[in-house]
Amino acid sequence: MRVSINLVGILQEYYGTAPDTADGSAVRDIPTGTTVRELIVLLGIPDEEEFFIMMDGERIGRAAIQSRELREDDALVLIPVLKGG
Amino acid sequence: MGWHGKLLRVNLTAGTCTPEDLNMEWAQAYLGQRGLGSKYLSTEVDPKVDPMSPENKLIIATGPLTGTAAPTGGRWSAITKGALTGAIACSNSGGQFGGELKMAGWDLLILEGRASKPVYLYIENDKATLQPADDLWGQSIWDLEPAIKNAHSDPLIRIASIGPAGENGCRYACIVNDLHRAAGRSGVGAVMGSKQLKAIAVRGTKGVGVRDPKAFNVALKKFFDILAKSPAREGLSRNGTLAMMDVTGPYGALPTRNNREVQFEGHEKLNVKAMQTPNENGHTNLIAGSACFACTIGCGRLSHIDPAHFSVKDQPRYQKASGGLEYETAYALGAAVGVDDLDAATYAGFICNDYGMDPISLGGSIAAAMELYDIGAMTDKDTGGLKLEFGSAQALCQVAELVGKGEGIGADIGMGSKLLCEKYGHPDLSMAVKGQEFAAYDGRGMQGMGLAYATSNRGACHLRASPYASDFETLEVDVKPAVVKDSQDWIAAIDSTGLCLFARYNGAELDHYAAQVDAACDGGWDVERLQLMGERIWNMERQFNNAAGMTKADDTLPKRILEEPAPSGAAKGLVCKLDEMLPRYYDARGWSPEGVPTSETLKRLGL
Repeated sequence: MRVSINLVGILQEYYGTAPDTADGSAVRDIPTGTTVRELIVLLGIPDEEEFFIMMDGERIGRAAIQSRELREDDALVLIPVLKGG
Repeated sequence: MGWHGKLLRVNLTAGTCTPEDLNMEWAQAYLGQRGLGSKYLSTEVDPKVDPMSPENKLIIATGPLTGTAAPTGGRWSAITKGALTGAIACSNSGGQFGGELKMAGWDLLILEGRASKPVYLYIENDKATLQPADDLWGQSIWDLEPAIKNAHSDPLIRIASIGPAGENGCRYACIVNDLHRAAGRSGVGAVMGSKQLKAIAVRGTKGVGVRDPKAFNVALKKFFDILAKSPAREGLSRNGTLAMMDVTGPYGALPTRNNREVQFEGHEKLNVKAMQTPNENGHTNLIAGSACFACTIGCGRLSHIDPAHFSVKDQPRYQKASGGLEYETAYALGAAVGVDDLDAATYAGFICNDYGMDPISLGGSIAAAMELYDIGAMTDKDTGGLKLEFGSAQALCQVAELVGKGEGIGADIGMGSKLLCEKYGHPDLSMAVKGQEFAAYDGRGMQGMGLAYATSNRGACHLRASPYASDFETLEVDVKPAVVKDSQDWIAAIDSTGLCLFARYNGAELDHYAAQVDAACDGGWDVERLQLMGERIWNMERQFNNAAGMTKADDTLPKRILEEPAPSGAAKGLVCKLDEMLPRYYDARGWSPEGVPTSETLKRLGL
C-alpha cells in the first residue's frame, strides 16, 4: 500500500533519503492496516518530537493517531510545532 | 550589580540631561527593561494624556543582563503610552544598540517634554548632550546612521532613530536601531517624533559588572549549551522565523486578505524554500542569517532583491542587503494583502526599515484599505488612481512608499486600520485589538491566540503570550485561559531581564533565565519570584490601561473573528469562542467580572 508523506521543516531529517517528489513529499510502501502511530514509528520519529498531522486539510487528533488505519493514497503532512515568530 | 544604578533624565523642553540614581527598591520589584520601565511610566505619566503630547514620556530601558556575555543579552525596550493604541506600550528590540547603551553606564533613559527644534541625543559613556538635528530631520534611517557616525568620526557608535514616518505622524512608526532591527509595535516611533527627537546615538566602553562572576559563567555556559544542542534552535538558525509559514499555511491559521481567509494559496512562494532557492534569473533572496548582540541563535535574515525586480530596477539604493523577511513580515506584506511576490514583500520590508514603520501594522492597514477598495468604500478618487487590489505587488510597493512619506492615500493608511476603517465607514473591517493590527495568527484556528490578542495590554500581539503548543494541539478552549495567563506572566518576566524570549522557545526553561539573573543581581532570584514579578507587571500594565479609560469592552476581537466561521483548515466552520474564554481568564487572573484586578489580587502582588 502506498501513502504520501510530507515532512515539514526540521522533521525532514526523518525521511532517511531525500524526498522524491517536487513538492517535497515522499511516497512510501507500507503494510496494509498500518496505523498513523505505526507509520510514525516506521519513520523513526521519537516521542519527544512535537508535531501535528494534517490529512486532507484536517488535523488528526491524538486518539485518531493511535487507531486510524491508513488507506491507499492517503497523503499526510507532518508539521513541527513552532513557537513565536 | 547587573544594574548600574543610574538613569539619565532628558528634558527635551529645557534641553537638559540629568543623571539620577535608579530606584533600587523598584528594581527589586520589577527588575529592568519592560517591568522597570513600565513602573517609571506608570508613576510619572497620567494615563489619560494624549500620547503625542509633551506630557507623555518615552522610556528607553535595558535589563540587568543587557550588555553582559549572557547569550541573547542584547535586548532593550521602548516604553510609552502608544500612539497607535492609547494603551501602555512596550516595544522590544535587539541589535547592538541595547548592549552599547548599557556599556555606556545607563540602565534607563527617560525622555520627556518636547524640543522646540529637532535634536538628537548623543551619549558617550557618562557624557550626554542634545545636539541640533535640523539637517538630519527628514532623512531616512539608512542615511541618518552613517551621517551621525561621520559627524562624530566614530563608526562604532550605535544608533536608535526614527525615519520620515515617525516625523510625519504615522501612528505605527517604529524606532529602528542598527539599520534593520526595531522596537516595532504600538507607535513608539511616533511618540519619539512628537518630541522632535530624531535619534539616540551611543558609544559605551565601560562594560557591565555582575554580582558573582563565577556563578554567572556557570549559568550562562549552561544556557549556551542548551541552545547549542537544541534541534529547534538549529532549525531557527537555519531557517529563521519564516519556517512558521509552512506550519500556519497548511494548518489554516494564516490570516489572508484581511482575515477573509485563513490559508493563502501563495504561501509556498513566501516560505523558507522560496527564500533560499534561486529564481528564474538565478538570484537568491537570502544572503545569510544574522544575530543580535551576544546571541547564539541568529534568527535574523539578510536579504537582497533581484536587481531586475520591478521594485528596485531603477533604485540602486534598495539593491543592497538589508533585513529580510521574517514570518511576521512575510504574513503582513504577503498573505494579508494577498501578494505572493517574495521580492515585493522584501521591498516593502526594506521601506519599513528605511522609513521607520512597523511592517505588521503597515501590512494590516494596507489589507484593510484593500478590502475597503474591494467593496467600493474607497475609490480611485481616494487613492489618487492607485488600483489598490488584493494581490497587487505594484500597489503594495507604491503604498508602502506613500505611507512612509505621509503622502496621498498613504496619510490615511498611516493612521492605522482602526481610524482608517472608521473614516471610510466600515469600522468592522479593522483587524485589530485596541487599535493594533493582528500578528500572523488567526484567532479562529488558534483559539488561545484569539484570547491572547483580546487581552494583550498593548493591543493584538503574538509576543505577549505563548499558546502555540496548545493551539496546534487542540481547538478545545477549556485549557486556553490558564495557558494564556501563565505565559503572559513569564513572558513579562523574560522581557524584563535583557534576554530574548526566543531562548525560551528553543530549549531554555525559566529557571535557566533565573540562574543568570540571580548570579548577576543582588536580591535572590528564582523561578517563583520571576513568575510572580511577571504577574505584577501584567497587572500594573492593566491598571494603567484601566486608568486610561479602557474597559472590558476593549478586550475583544473584530466581528469577523467572532462571527464569520473559518472557511477552511483545521478550524473550518469555527469562530473564536472568546465569550467562553474571557470570564475564565478574568477569574484565573483574580480580576472582577468587569476585568478589574481585585484588591486581594493587588495586595498579593504588592501593587
